[in-house]
Amino acid sequence: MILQSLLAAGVLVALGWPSTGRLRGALGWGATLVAAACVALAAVVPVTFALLLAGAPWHWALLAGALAAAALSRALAGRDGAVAFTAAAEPTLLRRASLVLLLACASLFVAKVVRAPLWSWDHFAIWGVKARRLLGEGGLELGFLAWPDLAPGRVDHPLGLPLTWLVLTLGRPPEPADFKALHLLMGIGLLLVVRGAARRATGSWTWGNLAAATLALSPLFWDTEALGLAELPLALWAASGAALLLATRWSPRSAAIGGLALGFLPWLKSEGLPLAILVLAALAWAAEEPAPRRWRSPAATAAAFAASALGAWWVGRFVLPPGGSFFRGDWMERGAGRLPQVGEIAAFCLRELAAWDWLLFWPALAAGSLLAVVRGRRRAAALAAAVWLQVAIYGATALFTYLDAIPHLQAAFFRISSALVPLGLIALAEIWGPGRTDVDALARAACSSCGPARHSFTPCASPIPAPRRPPAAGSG
Amino acid sequence: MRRGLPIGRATAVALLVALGGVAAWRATGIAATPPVLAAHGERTWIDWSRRDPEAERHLAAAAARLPLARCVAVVVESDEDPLWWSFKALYHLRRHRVVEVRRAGEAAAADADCLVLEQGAAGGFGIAGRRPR
Repeated sequence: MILQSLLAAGVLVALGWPSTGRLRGALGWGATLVAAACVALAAVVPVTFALLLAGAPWHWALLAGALAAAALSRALAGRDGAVAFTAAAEPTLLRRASLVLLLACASLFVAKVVRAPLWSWDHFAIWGVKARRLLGEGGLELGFLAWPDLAPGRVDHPLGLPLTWLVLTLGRPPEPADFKALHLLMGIGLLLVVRGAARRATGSWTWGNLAAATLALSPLFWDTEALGLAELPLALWAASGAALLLATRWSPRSAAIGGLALGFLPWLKSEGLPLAILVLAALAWAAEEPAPRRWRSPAATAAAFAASALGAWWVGRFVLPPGGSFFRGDWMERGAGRLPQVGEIAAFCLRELAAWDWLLFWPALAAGSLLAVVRGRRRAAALAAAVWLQVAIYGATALFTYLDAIPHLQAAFFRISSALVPLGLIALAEIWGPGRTDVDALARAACSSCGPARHSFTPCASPIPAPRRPPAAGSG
Repeated sequence: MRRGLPIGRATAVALLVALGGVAAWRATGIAATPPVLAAHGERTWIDWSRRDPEAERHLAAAAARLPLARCVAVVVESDEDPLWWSFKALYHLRRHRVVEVRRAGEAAAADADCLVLEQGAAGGFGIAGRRPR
């Protein structure tokens, strides 16, 4: 079973590699391979689903989806776009010790998933049942969504994750062991993405390893409530999209890759739409593209994002049954009526974020966010702000939900917040790191003198590309 | 570590030691039999969600050997929660069209030619034939 999924993952990496391969110097091989698979799946799943919906048999739809992903990846291929990166010297012993720690934490994650049962209610009521019933002998089968008892089980949740699982099992309805294997596969992929992104931001493998180890011990990995649910996949695509955009010297083609990865978030979960918009807006705002062309890369990113996100919206609006949206009924009136509860809701959320299960992650992110503002770290501050705004959205939902406010938060707030930890860790790494401008300066210094840097991923023979036009006066 | 960074080698060492301590402590819980499941969601929800693992295993086993039928009705013990079981039935009986989950003794609403999967007193599930007209 696991071999089948590894084979599928290998094919997906090959499909996505032309678009992301250029970033391997900045992100490292592991993160780039995972990002390639994420970009490929972001294309394969929507195309396959569209063809299934049109009545195509599974194998033909999957083949067409793979071909579309290969074509898109090829179209976005190029040599431009990688951010200059230079790794500074760091103590070998500390680097090796951090790697051992990361391997130990990753092994704990594997051991826990293997030993714990698959128990989360939402797996049986939402995600798992869809993956097991979505494909019948005649292709796509959505009739089960009409089962009356499923209505409170959020039948309106997107179908991207069940389809992703089915792509990775090559169309075989997943068994509990498959869900565990796929959870492990995506979890290890997410560790590699965060490790690569943190290492790029700080210039240090030690900090990359420590960021990934922190993630492996966080509730997203350690709490088996997430096993078989959408939080970890949501975090994987969000972190991949952010890592790609942060590693990219903005150009329309390379920026579109990140937009494509983030555009898959609404296919995975309803809250993926605001999260993707926040991350895109944050990184576009913080982009350092020369002024005359400043609009082009964000526009390309937004176009790639919108193409995918609109597809997810269309499926939710016209294909899925209305289901049990939290906003059903007169949500505006509910919100107005619950305004006096704002303090209670905020206090509950803060108590949840202060729990020891987080290992002080949220207080650290709060301190880091302030530091980013004080030190003028534009990208770090923007990404951290995106994370905090998404947390605020999760809290604010309690004002409008048809459920009682506090029970609604008790049911989900902690779990869904855990999916933001990888983005928060990347933001923290951006805060500790020297910043893009400093990294460029270090790279230039390394190239001119071949001095202090141990590993330069910006070869002296290929100097850092200068802006094709000088920045406009006063553009900063 | 790069000179001039606000967080230096000492912080990296301190973080490494702290994370190592947490990992070692958790490793003892995972090595225990049964493993300790005490994370936030596990503390809060696992007992509610995993009410009767043995009976659920019986349902999964029965589903695997159930012949294909036009529709299936599931009958659970009279003290069971049909809504909880309806989700489990929909999940485990993935090849079948589940049309009804009800308690023993309740009036049937499914068609007469539906296959009936009935929970016995010991928690196991057996095929009780098609519902008599």
